Amino acid sequence: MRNTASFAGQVLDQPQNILEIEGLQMFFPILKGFLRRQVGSIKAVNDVDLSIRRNEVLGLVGESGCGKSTLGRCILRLYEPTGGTIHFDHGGERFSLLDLKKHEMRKMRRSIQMIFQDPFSSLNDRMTVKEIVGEPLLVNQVASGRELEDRVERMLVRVGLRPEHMRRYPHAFSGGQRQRIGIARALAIHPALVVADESVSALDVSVQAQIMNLLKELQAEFQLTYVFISHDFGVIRYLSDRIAVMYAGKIVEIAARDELLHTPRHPYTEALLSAVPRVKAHQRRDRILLKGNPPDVSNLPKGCAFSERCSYAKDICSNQVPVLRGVGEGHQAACHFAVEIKLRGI
Amino acid sequence: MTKLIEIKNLRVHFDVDEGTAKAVDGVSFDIGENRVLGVIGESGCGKSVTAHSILRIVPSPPARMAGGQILFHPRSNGGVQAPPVDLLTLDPKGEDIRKIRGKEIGMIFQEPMTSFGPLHTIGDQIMETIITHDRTSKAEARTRTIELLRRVGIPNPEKRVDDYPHKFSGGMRQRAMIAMALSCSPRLLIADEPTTAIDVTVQAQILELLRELKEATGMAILLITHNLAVVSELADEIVVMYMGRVMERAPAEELFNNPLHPYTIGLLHSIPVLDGPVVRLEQIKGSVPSPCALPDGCVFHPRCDKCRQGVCDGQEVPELKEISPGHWVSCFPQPGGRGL
Amino acid sequence: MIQALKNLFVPNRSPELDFRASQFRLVWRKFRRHRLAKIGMVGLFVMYILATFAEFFVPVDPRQRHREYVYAPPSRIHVVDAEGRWHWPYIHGRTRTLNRETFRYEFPENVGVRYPIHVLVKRTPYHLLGLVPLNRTLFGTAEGAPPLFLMGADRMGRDLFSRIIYGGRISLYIGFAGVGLSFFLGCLLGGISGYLRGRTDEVIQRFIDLLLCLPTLPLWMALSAAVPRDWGVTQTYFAITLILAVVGWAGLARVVRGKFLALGQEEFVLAARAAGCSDARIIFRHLFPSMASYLIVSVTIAIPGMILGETGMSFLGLGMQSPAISWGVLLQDAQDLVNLAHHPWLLWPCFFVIAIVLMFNFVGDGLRDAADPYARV
Repeated sequence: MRNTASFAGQVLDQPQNILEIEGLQMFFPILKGFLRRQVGSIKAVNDVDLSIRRNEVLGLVGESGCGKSTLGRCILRLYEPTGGTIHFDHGGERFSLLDLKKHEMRKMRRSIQMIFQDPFSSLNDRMTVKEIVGEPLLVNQVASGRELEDRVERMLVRVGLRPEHMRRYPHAFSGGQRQRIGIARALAIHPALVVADESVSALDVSVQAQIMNLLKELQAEFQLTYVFISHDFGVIRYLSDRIAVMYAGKIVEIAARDELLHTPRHPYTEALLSAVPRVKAHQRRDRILLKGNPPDVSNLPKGCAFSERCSYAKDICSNQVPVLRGVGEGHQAACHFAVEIKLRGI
Repeated sequence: MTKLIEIKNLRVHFDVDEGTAKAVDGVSFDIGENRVLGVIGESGCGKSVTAHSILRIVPSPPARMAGGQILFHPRSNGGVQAPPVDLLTLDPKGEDIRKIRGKEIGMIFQEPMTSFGPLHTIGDQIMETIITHDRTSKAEARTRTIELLRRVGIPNPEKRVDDYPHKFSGGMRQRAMIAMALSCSPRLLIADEPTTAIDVTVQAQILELLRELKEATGMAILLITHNLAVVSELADEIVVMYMGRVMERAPAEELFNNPLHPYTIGLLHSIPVLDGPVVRLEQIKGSVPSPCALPDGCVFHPRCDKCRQGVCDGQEVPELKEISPGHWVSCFPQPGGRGL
Repeated sequence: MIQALKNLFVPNRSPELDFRASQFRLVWRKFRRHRLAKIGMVGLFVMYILATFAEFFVPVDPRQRHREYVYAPPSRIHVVDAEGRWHWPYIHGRTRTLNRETFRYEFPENVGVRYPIHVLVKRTPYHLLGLVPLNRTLFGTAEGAPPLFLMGADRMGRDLFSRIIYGGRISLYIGFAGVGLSFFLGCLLGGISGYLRGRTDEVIQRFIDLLLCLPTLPLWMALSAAVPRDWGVTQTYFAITLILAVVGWAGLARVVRGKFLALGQEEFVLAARAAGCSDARIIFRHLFPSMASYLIVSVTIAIPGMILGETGMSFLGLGMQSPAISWGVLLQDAQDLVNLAHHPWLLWPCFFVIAIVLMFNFVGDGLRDAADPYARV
């Protein structure tokens, strides 16, 4: 079992990691009563270690409430994490994101951008497309005036829109086109790392494919690193190089894409894969039907958070929290029996 | 196979500021007893409006029932088959349609959170449906409610029956919703995006439950969804809709193994699947047109790879034709291509 | 500029212009379809014009006393004389006489002489708004002729119609001024409350609760007791405005705070933060513009409250005092029921108050419906 400290030391020697997250915690206080006393906390992200390699697409998959979106927002410090560290490697320098002052962090945001989920609420209706896409360039003093317009125009054309769309307001666009605007906004400033939070979930199937293909092309073209967050294993498989599975605020398994899909080492990954509905009806196999629901993250069970729903659970599972440990080449899983049990992939 | 419901050339138009939106424009299909018909399509294709038209719960205005028939075959009464009722001729607020809603046709919605009123317990709300339709005593309704909740897999139904909706999780609420829809043993269950708002592990549970219930009760299901995979899990027959029209209709296996309409093929190629090698997705170009300004000819032609100028974009709308037994396609025949 | 104005009023059919239509234009387009709101808008426009340029529109000097016309009922305007001949509209002089049976004064017309109502009639020179020198008013009888009492005269023989138009200056604008001030307070405190959240929010909210708990009437009484009696009209005016604003900002602060909290969760605000926008830019470029339509609606609905507030205070003798002219002051004359029964025209100011409040509410309704141009049917 690798302990986290030596793990972090190792990564230091490998500058191919663009982002290193260690022991990240995001606990939201539950306040009650007139005096706003804290009566508990929602452990949305609970002790997450994760490193993201340069130019890779890391897929973050999990069910609603597992903390994947919160984790994504913590990377940009849209939420202020309550514990842990995030190191960002940029331009040969290593920044500790959580220690940066507010204005320093604002400057850092030109290198870390986000693509949002909802193509409707993520664009300000009161601004023209030019103002929306140009905003990151403007506030970061990258470009202004004629140059800003040129860059916005080039970006719009690149994401499949037309230059004359610049003067329009968002209400003139369909969901897919709005998502293209959102992508243009995130990429106009040439970030190094892009967090895409359920960016294709709200789109229709035919448009979803367009946007996924676009995201793939842009990644190669701009040498981007993506953290791609989704609940849809199909989408994650299509886009990611590595996949991390989250459950109840923790990463339960992480591995290269095919490794994770074919030889999962965590029972939750197995169940999640099995639950995904498949198009080819004749290929339907015996499905693992999980009992119950994901646990309440403000009131976690004592041992493994998945133990109550797990068909492989033994005594130790309800007493001791399993640690994320190496179980193979670049493959880590947080299960007491990750090595012992044989699980079924796709 | 005895037909349970026949939809013939249904047209539902919405009068909006921008003009007339033809949400449903000449849709026909039928559902046999104990069969599952899946209707798939992207947002705005008219699948939900079709389903809501069956129960006559489309708000009108702005909607207008512009034509067609929805024939519902009532239960045979001691061997005598009563003539079918055209649901479109009924008064949407009248007594007749209310007798059919819930009793003959049940419905479950996408959003289990908003389907229950927050002020009454789950049990009270289900019991109310039973009492209105079957005129049973309160005690009997309660026993039946508990039985139903047990049936849909809610643990500890004796206790949970007195819980308020907010105490139920999303999946549980969807189960309760199904219990309510089943309370008067309807012969047709309309499931409108029943798993869209819930997580994939819970979705698997709900689909399994629907399959079981269908086997056990002998009801038919009309499953409306945008998710091809979900529909393939459950449906015997599938209708593909686009911009208010039926593009293709075929038995499930046939549709997935031998799709004929370019739109169906495009859809199948757009979904990222878990099987097979990861290859670039073939996308359908363009986006869905405004329902107020439908293209002439075949509604799909501006986005179609196989579109032929002068044929597909003319004034003539392609008819839904039976190509092989049970397989219907609405596409102009391609010269030398795929037998259309 | 002219094209922009034209676009505003003439519905354009080009789709590209539709796509480029700003929020404001979409709201306006929807607002135009609301008939009552349009009527209200026009009515308010006319009322405000009348009140603003009151000097020009009144037929009689509102402060001039006509001893021979005390409590005179409205003048009858004739166009046909006793012989059936048509004339330009005219009035007759009237003589105040005591009816020996009812012991009430009556005003029989002296049919002999006709006094025509002139358009742009000559007056003693005056300054419109204190700036533009003029010597004519829109209409009225010639100088020296019996004055035209459109809505009767009050207990000192002053023309009620002219007084109402003058009173509109105070009563209509106090709404704007009061709302302006409470708008400022509301945005400031509501904004702080909604953006900072936490303890600050809690403290401000509890303070607002407290303020909303206090019954308005005693609060008015207490505050206006603090206004010195010897203050002039202008000073009292500002004092009253201040009182109304201090009492009225709380509701608006609630609206602003609620909107801040709701919009703070929207992805476009997160996107702005992710883009590196400063707090100030987020507040002024994203949050406030997004709630502008709601704010305008709240303000439109708050103005009649302010107008009623001033009228109510003055009516009770807590606000403006004679010789200032406001609708509340005018209504003081209508306090006595017996008086009112004999001189029902004293209620005319009341009609104006009701009309204004209704029109504001129509406009507010229309704006509220139009405020969200993206809402679908």
